[in-house]
Amino acid sequence: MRQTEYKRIESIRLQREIIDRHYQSAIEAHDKGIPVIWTSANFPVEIIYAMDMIPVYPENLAVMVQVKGGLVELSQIAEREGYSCDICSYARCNIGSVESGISPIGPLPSPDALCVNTVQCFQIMKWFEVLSRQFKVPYYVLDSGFVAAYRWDEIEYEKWGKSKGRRPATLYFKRQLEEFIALLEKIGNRKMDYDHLRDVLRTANRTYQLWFEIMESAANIPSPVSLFDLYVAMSLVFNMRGTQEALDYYEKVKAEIDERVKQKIPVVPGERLRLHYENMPLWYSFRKDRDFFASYGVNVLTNLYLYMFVNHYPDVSDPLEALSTEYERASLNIWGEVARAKIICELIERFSLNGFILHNVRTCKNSSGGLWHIAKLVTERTGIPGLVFDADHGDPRFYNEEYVRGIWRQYLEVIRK
Amino acid sequence: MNRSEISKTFAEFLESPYEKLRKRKVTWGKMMVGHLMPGVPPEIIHAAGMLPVALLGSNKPVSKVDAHMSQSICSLMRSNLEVALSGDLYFMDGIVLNHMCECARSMSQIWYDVFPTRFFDVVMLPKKLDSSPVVKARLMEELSRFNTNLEDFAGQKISNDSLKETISLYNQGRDHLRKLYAIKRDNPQLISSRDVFSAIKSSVMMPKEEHNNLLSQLLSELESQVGNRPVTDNAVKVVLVGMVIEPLDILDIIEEVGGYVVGDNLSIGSRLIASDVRLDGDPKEAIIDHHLASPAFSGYVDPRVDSRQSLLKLVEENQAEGVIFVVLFQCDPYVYDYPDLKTALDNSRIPNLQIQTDLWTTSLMPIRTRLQAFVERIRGV
Repeated sequence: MRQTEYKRIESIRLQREIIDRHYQSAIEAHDKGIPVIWTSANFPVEIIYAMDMIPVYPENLAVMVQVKGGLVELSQIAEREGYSCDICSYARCNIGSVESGISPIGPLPSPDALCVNTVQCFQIMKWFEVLSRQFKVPYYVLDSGFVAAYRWDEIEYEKWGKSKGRRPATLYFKRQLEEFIALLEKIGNRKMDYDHLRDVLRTANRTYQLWFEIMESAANIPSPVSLFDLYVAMSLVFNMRGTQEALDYYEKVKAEIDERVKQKIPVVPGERLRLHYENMPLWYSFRKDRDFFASYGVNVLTNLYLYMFVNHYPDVSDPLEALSTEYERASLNIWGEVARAKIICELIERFSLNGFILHNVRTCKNSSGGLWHIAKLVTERTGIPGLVFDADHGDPRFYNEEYVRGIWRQYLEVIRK
Repeated sequence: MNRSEISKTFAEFLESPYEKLRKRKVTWGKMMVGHLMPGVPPEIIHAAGMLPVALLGSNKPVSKVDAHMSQSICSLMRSNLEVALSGDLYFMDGIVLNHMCECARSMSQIWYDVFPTRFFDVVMLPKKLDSSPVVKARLMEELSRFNTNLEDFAGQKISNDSLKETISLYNQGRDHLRKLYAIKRDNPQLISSRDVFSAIKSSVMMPKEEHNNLLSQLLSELESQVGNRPVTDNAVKVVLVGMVIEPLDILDIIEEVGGYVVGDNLSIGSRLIASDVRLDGDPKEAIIDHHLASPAFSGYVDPRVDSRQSLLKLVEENQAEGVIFVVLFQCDPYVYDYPDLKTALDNSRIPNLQIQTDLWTTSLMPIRTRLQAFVERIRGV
């Protein structure tokens, strides 16, 4: 193995401080009379920010715990309560923490309301239902419907990866947003300021655009950025899209990446192979995996998970219409397995990729249920062999390092030839 | 036919339903449409002049599906795709899926790619059950869209009158099954739990007219025997909780170890027959109201109902002595519900047991041992 020389983007690390400040403000929110809303990744959080409330993401908190290696203790607490180890690692982590009051990342700010968007999965809907019984606070389910096209030839994308979908139900979505706003108005005892919402959308719009450009910069050869940087950088577009802090952050990151492109500074020196990696990383082995690939001169560049956050609001005169149209076309809502395969084929071409690795996340059915089918389709269309490996995004008990590293090495040998 | 012949007809049909339907298709002349349940309203398919056939997989082990789907998907959905991949559904004219749960969603995303049929649709019902105008409007929008798609395929309009006729036929079937269930509950020696659940399961796969006719004959014979035989049964009354009970052999075991089923909230069980669709007014609205009023499948969120209280009520109404959770491995909705339901039962001192199976579970001895211990515990042996 060669010496690791991974050259990370320095400005990306600033996210930690911003996220810490965000959670600190959530912890102090109740003292200031500010409602805290627990929500899920693809919920239209712009509305919560426009109401000057603080969103908290149990999924993100779970990632922070898992990176610190704290999942097993919390999961075992949930398992003792009767939750199966087959359910989402994020859910077990959070439920265990709520049940026990143990939180390796500091105190959890308790929620005044809960809301999820069914777009990302149905497990989160059940997970938050458990929380609603626990906290006895209002729980709003934003039901996206699923508008994926199922036939290869019917799937067409805009450059952002968005498509028209099969049959958008935008009016239903918009009516639900109105219901949700009414709920927040009741909780906060104040009315929505729609001009403020428009401002939040404008800020978010620029943030999404920067995020997309940052992802696209990986198309450069050699690439100035890797997926491992992007996973870290994603946390702000995930948590804080619509805020000035997030926008400022991505401007800094983009500037550093642009400079690297200009100077042709690679993130993986001697980049020899370029890969697509599907689904979440192994959070508990994150840095080791980053260095493993770099040590082989392999740069992992693309991932569909990151395309969750590429909304565009060219016209915010009717902000709820803009939100409905874009969130309904969120990647998770329009990409079935066939569409995922088709877009991976496009990424292979656009990013000059040599191979693709698909992570079969044991406890995430929505992302992993049909990975073998995706692999088959992509290989049929591109001639490039793919690899599906079994592990879990959060639970190291489902991870066998020797097995995973072994098949990664074998796969790299195959595509190198 | 006498009752044993009728029960045998149901049982034999369930041993190889797709083969039997394929043979029927040759002479029957009607189109057949496979559909997932709960969620897809079979009445609309029937009113379009087709036979709706619930996709309930098979009890055979799988081999082909692993090349397409993860083993983290439940055996019901994996088995459904396996049946399609094996060519056993090639006689189907159409397939209608829905996203009742994560596993169904996963399967539906690749179904058309591996098994294209002349008609294919995915009916997207709201994941929340409440009676708000927003949800009702969405349900009407989606069912109307599905209705139109189906009409285009069938080449005929679905009139309100024909939909009402179908609803009436399905109500009759539900009524028959409720009566059968009540006979079992009150006269446990007259018919086995397995025969009752075989009647329910076959009701969503066989032609409804034929099934109703068989049920009618079965009921008249059983009703004539009610009260003739003294109720001496001291078996332990249990309630089943879950989506399906598979394999059905578990019902035999429950009776063999001294228990019997007096109630359940299974989707292929009491949820299916809990209430009728009203016949007055707009029939599609009636189907929607029925959907919203039926006991919720766990894959939906129903803010109107506390599932813990519903379960306690089910136990109390049926004077059950214990609850058995029958859960398919990887069935997320129930896995998330289980701890809170169990706590509610424990707090009310209601004995309960969870057993997990796959559709193709053949090693039933460990389950027998646990069920026996459970029944003996209730009896205080």
